[in-house]
Amino acid sequence: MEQTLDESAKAFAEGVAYNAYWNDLAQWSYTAWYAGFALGAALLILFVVLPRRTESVIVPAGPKRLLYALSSYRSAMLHGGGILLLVLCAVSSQSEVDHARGFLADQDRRYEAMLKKLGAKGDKEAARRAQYMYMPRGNSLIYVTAGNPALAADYIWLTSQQYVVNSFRRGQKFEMLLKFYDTLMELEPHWTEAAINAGKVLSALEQDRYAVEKFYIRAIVNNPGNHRLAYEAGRLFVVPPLNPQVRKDYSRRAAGWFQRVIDQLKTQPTVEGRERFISELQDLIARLSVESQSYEIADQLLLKNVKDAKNSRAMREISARDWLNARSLLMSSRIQERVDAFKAQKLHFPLELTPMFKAIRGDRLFRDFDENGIPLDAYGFPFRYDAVSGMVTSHGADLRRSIQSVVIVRNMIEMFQRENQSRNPATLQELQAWVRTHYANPQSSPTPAITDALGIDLNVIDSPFGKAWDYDAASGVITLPPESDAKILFKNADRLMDEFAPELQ
Amino acid sequence: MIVVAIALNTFKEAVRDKILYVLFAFGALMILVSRAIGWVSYGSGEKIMADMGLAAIWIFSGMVSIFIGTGLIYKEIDKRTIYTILAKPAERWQFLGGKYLGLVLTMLVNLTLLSGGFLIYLWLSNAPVTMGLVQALYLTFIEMMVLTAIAIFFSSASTPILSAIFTTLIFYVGQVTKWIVELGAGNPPWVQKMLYTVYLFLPNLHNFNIRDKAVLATENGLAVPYAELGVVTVYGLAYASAVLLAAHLIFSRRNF
Repeated sequence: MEQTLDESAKAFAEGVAYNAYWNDLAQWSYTAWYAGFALGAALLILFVVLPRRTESVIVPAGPKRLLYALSSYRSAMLHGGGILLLVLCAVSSQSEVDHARGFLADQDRRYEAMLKKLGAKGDKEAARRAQYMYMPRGNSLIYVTAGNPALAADYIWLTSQQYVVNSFRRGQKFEMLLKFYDTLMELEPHWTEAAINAGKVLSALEQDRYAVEKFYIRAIVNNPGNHRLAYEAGRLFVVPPLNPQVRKDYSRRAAGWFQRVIDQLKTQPTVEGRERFISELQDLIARLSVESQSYEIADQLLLKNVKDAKNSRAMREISARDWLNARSLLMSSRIQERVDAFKAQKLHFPLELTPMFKAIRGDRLFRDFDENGIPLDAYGFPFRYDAVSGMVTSHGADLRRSIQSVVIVRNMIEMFQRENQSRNPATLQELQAWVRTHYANPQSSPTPAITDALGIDLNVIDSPFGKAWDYDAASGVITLPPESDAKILFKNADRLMDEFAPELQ
Repeated sequence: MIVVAIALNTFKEAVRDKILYVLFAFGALMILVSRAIGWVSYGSGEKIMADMGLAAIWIFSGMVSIFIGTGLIYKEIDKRTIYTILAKPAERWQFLGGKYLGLVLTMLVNLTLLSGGFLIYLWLSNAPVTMGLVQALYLTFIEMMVLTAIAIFFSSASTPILSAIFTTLIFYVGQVTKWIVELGAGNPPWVQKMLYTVYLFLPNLHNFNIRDKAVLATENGLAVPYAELGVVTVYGLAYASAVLLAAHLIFSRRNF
């Protein structure tokens, strides 16, 4: 039966804990140690107490005669007692190493016993795995290097690099290197440069960001003041996940780590480029906050970026455009809350949004209204509402998302053409069928950018603005609504710049 | 004056010892090679270079202390030259003190040359040269003062081979003494107290090891605060003095 890695590790641990060799050794070694200590101490005491024997001394009669007889062996007592005590000190050290599974002789015996145990179960693969996954504890390496953990850490670091570049047991590289790096951190907890590089290697090997994040957390616990570790932990989650369902959490975590970096940087002495770095991080947090649906935070940070005269013109303009999106999403979420409250009270969704709009009249978030008093999103478009699903969306935000998504759909059409002798898909349904067949092959799984734009079901038919794409089968072209033109869509961003960055106009 | 004269003679004698040059050459070679090992590393090459350099200085200074220190007194007795010294108005403590100071002077010169070369080599390699490194090298010197005292202690009581074995054992055990206390965990209280006593009596040479902190020192470039450096220095000097006293106790009772 196939054993998992965890089961192998458990079997290994049990083999170590209950190995008869070690238990037998432990039973008599303590008694022997204390007996040896007593003997060594007694010899040294005798060496001090016994009189020195010189030829001029007249050997007394009586009980003192024995003492003088023994005095011939004073030198032997000094050497014997000294050697015994020193060896016992060394033995004590070795016993501790043995406890920590350090010294090779003892470890090999236990290791062999464990292998035999695993082999007896008929699981040779598990035994092999346990063999190459072995890593001594940092404590034992401190003994080997005579109390020089830095040297042991250097050795571990250099050795680990062989495993990075070699084709060592594909599939177990991450586990093996994690053991290396954990030992490294145990030996040299403040070697942050190694921790950062180790994290990068681990993140390249493992798609599970949370597993790598745990490694960073361990390093951060040892170096709480180091902002670079927190920054690297945040960067883990900037890359979109393959599973769009965890995207929100990814963005939330990344934003959380970057906020920690900013907080730490603010407490440190001013260094060149610090303010700029903080500003860039705040911009990144704002974008991540949109993804994690923390619209209020995004709204505040982006507006701050627009207002901040220290930022570059390009950054302020981009922030202004992003702010439109964040504010629009924030507005639609506020209306959505009221729709949901209505549903909870009346047990059905409202037929239209008018009652909701009346309720939000005093809300300072909503600044622009059309001639009928209907609030507009930050882009200047009315909100869209589906009375069946009860979903409120910002038309501007949907349009912006459409601009990003249509690029992916157009790529899909081009790929379809390449595989079908330059023929255009007759309908979007035909394109949809082809896309799903194409990505069903494990060799060509969709990238995070594709799943982000089309959703996990790879929907190429429906656009984010609530209806099917406007597709012309003859030309193979998808046309976006006229209001998706950048000049129209981002007109309010220019207004925002006029208001908050007049010096740039 | 007698102590100074003996110290200077001991220094002259030590620098004529070929083993000093062999160990010095190996130490220097290891420092040079450390850069090549740093090249192999993906990142942190400078750190590995500094680690290896400091360790080389430490281990080869220790070997100088053991190999030269353990033979100092015995050689005088074996060659009967001690008679001519003690026949003059020189007390035994003066002889012992002079021998110790002479070897410490040798160690100081040896360490200064190796350390200077190491720091210049780091600087030429564009690696950071911080005050922390100087602190680490300083404490290595204090550690060597303790080790030299231990070597003299054994040299005054035993043969060079046995003394070298004893001193080497002490050198090793002294690096890992704190684990002797940990050995008592789970045992009866009297055992724990006894082990703690053993721990207290053995030289805790790990006190002088701030090499890892020195290499990674960032705040003001210091590995440890100066106050801590002072406490460790006091510990080292006190321990070395105690061992020298014990050496004198044995040496003063010794017949030649």
